[in-house]
Amino acid sequence: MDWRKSAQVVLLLLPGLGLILAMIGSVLYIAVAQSFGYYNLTGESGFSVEFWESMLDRKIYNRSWRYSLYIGFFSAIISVALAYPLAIWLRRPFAGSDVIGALLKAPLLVHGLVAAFLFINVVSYNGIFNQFMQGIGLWDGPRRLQNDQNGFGVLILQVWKQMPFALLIMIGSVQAISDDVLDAARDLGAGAFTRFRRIIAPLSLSAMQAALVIIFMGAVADFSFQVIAGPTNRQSLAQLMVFFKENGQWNDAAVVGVTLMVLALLCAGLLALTARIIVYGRIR
Amino acid sequence: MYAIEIQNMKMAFGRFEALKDINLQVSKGEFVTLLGPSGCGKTTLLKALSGFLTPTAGDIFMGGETVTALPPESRDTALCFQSYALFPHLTVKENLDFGLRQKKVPLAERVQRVDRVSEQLELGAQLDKLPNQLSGGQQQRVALGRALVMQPAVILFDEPLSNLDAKLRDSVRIEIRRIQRENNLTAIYVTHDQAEALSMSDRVVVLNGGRVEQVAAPKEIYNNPATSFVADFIGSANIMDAEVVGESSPGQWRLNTPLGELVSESKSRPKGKNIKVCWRPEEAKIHGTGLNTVSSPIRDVSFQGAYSDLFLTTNGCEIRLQAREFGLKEGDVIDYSIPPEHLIMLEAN
Repeated sequence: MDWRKSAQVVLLLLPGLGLILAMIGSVLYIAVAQSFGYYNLTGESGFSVEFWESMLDRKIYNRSWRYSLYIGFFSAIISVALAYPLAIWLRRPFAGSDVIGALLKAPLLVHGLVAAFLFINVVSYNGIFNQFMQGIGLWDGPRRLQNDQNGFGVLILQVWKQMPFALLIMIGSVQAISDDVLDAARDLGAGAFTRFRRIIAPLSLSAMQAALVIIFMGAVADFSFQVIAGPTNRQSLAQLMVFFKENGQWNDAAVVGVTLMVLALLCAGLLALTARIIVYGRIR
Repeated sequence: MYAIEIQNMKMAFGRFEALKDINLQVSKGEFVTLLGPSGCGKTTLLKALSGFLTPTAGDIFMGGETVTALPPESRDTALCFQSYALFPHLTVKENLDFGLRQKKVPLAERVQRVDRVSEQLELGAQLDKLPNQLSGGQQQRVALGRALVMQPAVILFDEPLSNLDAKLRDSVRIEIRRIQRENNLTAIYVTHDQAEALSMSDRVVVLNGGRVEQVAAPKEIYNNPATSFVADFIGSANIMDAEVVGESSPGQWRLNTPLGELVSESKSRPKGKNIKVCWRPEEAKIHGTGLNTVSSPIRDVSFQGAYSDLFLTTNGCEIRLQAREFGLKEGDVIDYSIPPEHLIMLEAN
């Protein structure tokens, strides 16, 4: 390719890719620079590791990244684990499968904030869930379920919202596996679990990895579910970042922001790699 | 004891009966082909044998034991798929080893069996390749090897050659038959290709509309078709209605046909007064004289290389002949005779 053609390609790509790169690049640059003391909006600007040092010593920060990882990891794993059998079940059409598929994907159309408010209403002290449990005689009185300390409410909301997305990604991949290949495995003596482990999982690994990574990245940076339904005694990284920002501590907010980006990237990669190692038993 | 025995088997999908009252016995080491047009039930029968479909009625026995309700993974059968169905993410070696691992065969024996089969099928150089790196013929051999390595009591083939080109099909056909004989395998082979069925099989089962039309050795099927369907489906045949006039001498039956009165030689009695008769185009003698001689103008000539097909119309009846003589042309009037022993009486109308 001569320089004219190369220039033509670059020019054609520039409006789309250029804008994306410029926006990502500028955000990354500002966040990293601010976390090291530059662009200080309230004091002197200049290179400093003091914000990192002080942040790494803070209990709230360490609890926050551990909590975000916990939410991200379990949201991704549970969503994919639930989506897999559904994708296999809906692999071939049957009477009613379209309706079931549409119902399963319905949460994609409901905004997260709306879902969180509905959830809070359902599990509130005098909500229908408490009433139901008392009605069937399992509980003597109402229990406090709202904003539980383990973040189960956030996990439920994340899975409710993300599982249809995982299903959407994986169903195509599972549908692409030919019946003959699965029948051949069966004919050679493979039971249902072996067929899943040795045929379906490896052949849909890319979709599984994509679902894990995308869900993990979304959940690890969750703000809205956490603010409405999350525990009151711990904060997610996104929540902590907003807290610092609202208190005018921009450099501290940047440290949390960079942590969030690095954790999301590294752990998503690790998650994808682990999935591959588990499925294939080796990296290849 | 038969390797396979099917008793009064029926298979229905809702109101549609795909298989009707199938009875078949297959001996150990026998190569039996299920032959028929699309939708005749041959693949359904194969799927019932492999366990992917459970018969609506009847029983299947293998080695004297009923397997009717056994799932495929518990049967001692191995199926070669039309699409090969190789595992695309596994190497040739892993494909061959897959079934042995499921059956928990000890490692040393697994290695030995894979080595032997890969040597037998000349797959040694391909063992570390993925299926998409192989040619169609090589993929076919891997599919065959994956079944052979299991040393099954019964090996099932579902149109395994249909994706290969004509030349490769011939060589793989010979290879399958050689391996089947060498290993004394009981084989059930599904095809809609009559040439494949006739050249490979010990016996052919002709299916039509879910029913068995005839079960016999290839020569018998060709020379003595039991029904007009078999006569028409296997090779080409001239089939026409006939009325039995009487027995002129023992085994010689006089018949009224659209071609005039003809004589058929048969040890068995006709199956009614109004029957169908057939004869193969290559059995008629061009310029023949004597018994069963018919005179007719040639309507069309089609050159086929080693012979020419002649198309004639006699009393509204379309007739096809084969001539080794190449000077004949449209409009020529020829005499041909049908030897009585080749005029076959079929079912009653």
